[in-house]
Amino acid sequence: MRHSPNRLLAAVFGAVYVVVGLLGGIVAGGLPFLTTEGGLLLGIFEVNPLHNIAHVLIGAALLIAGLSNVVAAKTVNTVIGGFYLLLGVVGFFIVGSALNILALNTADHFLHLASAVVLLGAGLAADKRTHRAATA
Amino acid sequence: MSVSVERQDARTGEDDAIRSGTTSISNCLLAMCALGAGLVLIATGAGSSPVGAIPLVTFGVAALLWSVVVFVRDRVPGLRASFAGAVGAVVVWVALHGLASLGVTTVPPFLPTLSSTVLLLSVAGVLARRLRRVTLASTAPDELELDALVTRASRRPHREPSTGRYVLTLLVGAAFVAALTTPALAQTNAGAFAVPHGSLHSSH
Repeated sequence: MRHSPNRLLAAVFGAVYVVVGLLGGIVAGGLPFLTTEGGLLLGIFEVNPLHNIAHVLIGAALLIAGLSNVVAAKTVNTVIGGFYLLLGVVGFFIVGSALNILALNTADHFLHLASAVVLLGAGLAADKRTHRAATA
Repeated sequence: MSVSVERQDARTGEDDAIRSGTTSISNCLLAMCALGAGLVLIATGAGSSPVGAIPLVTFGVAALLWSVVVFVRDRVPGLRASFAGAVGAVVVWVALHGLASLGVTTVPPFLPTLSSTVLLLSVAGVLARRLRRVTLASTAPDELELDALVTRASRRPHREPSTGRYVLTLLVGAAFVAALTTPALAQTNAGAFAVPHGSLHSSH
């Protein structure tokens, strides 16, 4: 893991997202599942129960991939990075509407965009030779 | 044969690329900046009148595609064209502000203009430096001087950064791009709806 940026990032981000998802359960515990007005995690990031489940699932996928092998980490990083990029942009269009079922706010968008740039960047840019050799 | 390959590398400005299957840090940072600029250009273009929307979205999509190519191939496609594109996008912002003062189009929001201009000029600056290096290499008067340039250029690059350093640079670069991009996106037409977040559903 120490030699692969993708495995390292997947493991670290995975662990962080699992913890964030679990902590989110504390602040959004009693809220309706799809509420557009969630609780504030760390006083900044707005989350609701669905958002927390998404964090735990994404974190678990990243963590498992990071602990598995380079190909899995690279693939999961690219897919989740692309998803977060989409969410970071689309999120701005749905905040304030009934479609905001993840209770996203601007701090969430920042986190999603930063995660997207890192994960997508690592997925596309790092460990290319390993990936090519493994998939050949 | 190998000398000519090395010369080709020096001419295309790729002397700092890492040859081990990982895109060089400098190219990663370039791609990140282009990614952020592309997002802001598209989001701003989406809320503009057609006069502004067409060039902004066109440059935005081009920036996104360019960033993916740089990430994947570890190579700047068409150094001069890329430089012209980065400068061209800044010129579009200036032109749109000029046209807005004449009442032809709506005034582009300030933060998106500022943040994408910073990102685009960062890209343009790095590309200008590479262009200068390429020009130097191609205008060397004799073979010996060219060989010396190639040798110097090819000596530095093949050093591979540690994984930790690579990851740390990615994190810092991403935080920088997200810090510039997020407030800019929030000031676009789409993001404007996000600012009074919570007020629309206070009755729940």
